[in-house]
Amino acid sequence: MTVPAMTARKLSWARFSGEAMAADPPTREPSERGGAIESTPVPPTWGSRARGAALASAPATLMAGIVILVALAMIGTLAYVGVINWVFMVQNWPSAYLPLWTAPLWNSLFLTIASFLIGFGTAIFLGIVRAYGMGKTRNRIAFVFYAPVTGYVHAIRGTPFFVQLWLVFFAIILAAPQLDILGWDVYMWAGLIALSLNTIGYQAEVFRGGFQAVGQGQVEAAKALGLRGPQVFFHITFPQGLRLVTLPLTNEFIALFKASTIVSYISVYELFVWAENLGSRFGHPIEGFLMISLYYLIINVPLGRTVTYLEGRIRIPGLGTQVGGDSLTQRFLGRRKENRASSWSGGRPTRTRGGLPQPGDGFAKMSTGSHRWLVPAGRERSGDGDHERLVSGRLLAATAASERGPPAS
Amino acid sequence: MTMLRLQGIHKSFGKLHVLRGVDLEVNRGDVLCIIGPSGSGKSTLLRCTNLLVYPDRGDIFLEQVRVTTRAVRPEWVRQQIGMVFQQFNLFTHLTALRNVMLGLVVVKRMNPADARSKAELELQRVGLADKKDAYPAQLSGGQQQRVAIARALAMDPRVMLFDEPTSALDPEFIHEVLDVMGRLAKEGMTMVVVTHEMNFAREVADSIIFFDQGQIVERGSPEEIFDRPGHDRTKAFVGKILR
Repeated sequence: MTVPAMTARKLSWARFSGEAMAADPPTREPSERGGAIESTPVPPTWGSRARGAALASAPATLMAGIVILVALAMIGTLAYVGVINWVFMVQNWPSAYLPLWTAPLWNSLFLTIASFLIGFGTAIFLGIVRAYGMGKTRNRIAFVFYAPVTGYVHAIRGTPFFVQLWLVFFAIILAAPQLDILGWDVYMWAGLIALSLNTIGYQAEVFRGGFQAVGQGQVEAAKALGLRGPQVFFHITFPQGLRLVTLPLTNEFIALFKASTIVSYISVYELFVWAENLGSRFGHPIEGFLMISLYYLIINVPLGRTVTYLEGRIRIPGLGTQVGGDSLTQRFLGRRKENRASSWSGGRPTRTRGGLPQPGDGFAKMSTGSHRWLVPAGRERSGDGDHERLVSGRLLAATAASERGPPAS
Repeated sequence: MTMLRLQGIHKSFGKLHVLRGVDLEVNRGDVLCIIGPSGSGKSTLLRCTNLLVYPDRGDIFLEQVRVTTRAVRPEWVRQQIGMVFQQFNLFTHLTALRNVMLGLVVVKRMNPADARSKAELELQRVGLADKKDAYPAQLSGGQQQRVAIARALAMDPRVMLFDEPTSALDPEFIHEVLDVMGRLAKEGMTMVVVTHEMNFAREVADSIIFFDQGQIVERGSPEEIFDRPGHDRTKAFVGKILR
């Protein structure tokens, strides 16, 4: 007997109005119920999750590779047509880091690292003030400093670094034009102080967020053991908060390193000034800026990756972000992941690529009226419904029921 | 002998009057179970008892010592009273052993070697000696709660407070936590337990309090509360729960 194919909408309408009661016999053979049941929309749980996993591994790195190749091709083209002079770049490269310690690259790095560390040491305390200076359980000492610290943080985060730099510069140069401490002149000091003041403001907020993200329940549990407020902070909140802020702090370091180019405007001899000099003195501006771009890249990109890697190595289960740990090879070639989702293979771990089961891994293809499936081998012809197939296997493709004619009898 | 006495405890959060004059006595070695609908202030009552929440009015006595005075530091009180939370609240960054050791080293100023052996003993008591190096995230809910109990016991508290210790657990882990608590009760620990586990309350409790709308509605032995509740509200609640 042939049952006409119906869309889900039609079916539900028919049920609602009772029209179909006569036409639809109440008992139908499993093989014949296909049309109506399979036309109900299948939730895309498996499909979308699997797709997300696949995007996260191989194709994403492939795309990154393509982007880099395109960039290299563009630079190569520029070199070919004569806009970029390779010989010039190769010849002038060492002048960025020679002579040692007074060269622009080292100046840039020194300014960044020094101000970052100054910021780190200071911002912890400002973060504490920001986190514990207000609210019902505020700390009395933190409360005293809360207003000035909050004002400072808002001032730093609310104004451009460029403006802050000029303010610091003029303040210092008016107060002490002949400044010379530790062998650094007034420009270097102004740059260092401006960068430090700036990063303190940002890092304070990072720390505040980290401290506040530590579970209140744990704080309460520590109090219930008899720990005093400061003890709770040093033994619970601080060690956990520090782990939570590693990634935001790395971001801040990278941002700071890039912002350090701005101190070139008060004639600190760092990478940007160097590139500009190269360009204007020898008439090769593009080369100069390409060269410093590469310096920033080869420091920032490995730094971020290293921190991610280290974070994965020292991770405490259940604490912090759940990323990282893949080697570079795994990144580029995709991850062959032991999949333990038992329902896919009846409990046996399946070797899958990008999280998808493949035909041959104990799976077989099958099709029902409108859908094509990948199901555990041996279940191709069982009387499972769509839901069971969805749980045990994977939906490969579905045709909209309305586009289908009546199934062949 | 009275171990813990609460007298006319009042607590409000803003306009919400959570505790409306609670009087309560627990004798040494007794197990008191507090039952009642959610939102009735049971948890707040426990948190008032160890001064995590400071009561607005009323007094708390721990072995005849009035602890609701300026002269007594709340940290000292909390050290005497162990507490177990619904959400376990283990310290995520510390292993099970270190979780138990923390209070000993930081609060009791025990030297780390002694603290370690005491912590190992406490973990053994809750049957988790082999899990001492696991982080909380690597433990099941039941195991986490047992570590939390060991952590509280390590401080040698005079009273233990349990705030719905099994409510956040999967059914299969509930019994292991209740077993530990039952054993603790047998060993003579003074316990105040807020719970929805009526079988546990019936078997282990010396007396049961039905708590509703910030007040003690009725107090009695398990048989009195469950089989012959005297108050209508108790009747309704027990009827709903035991059905």
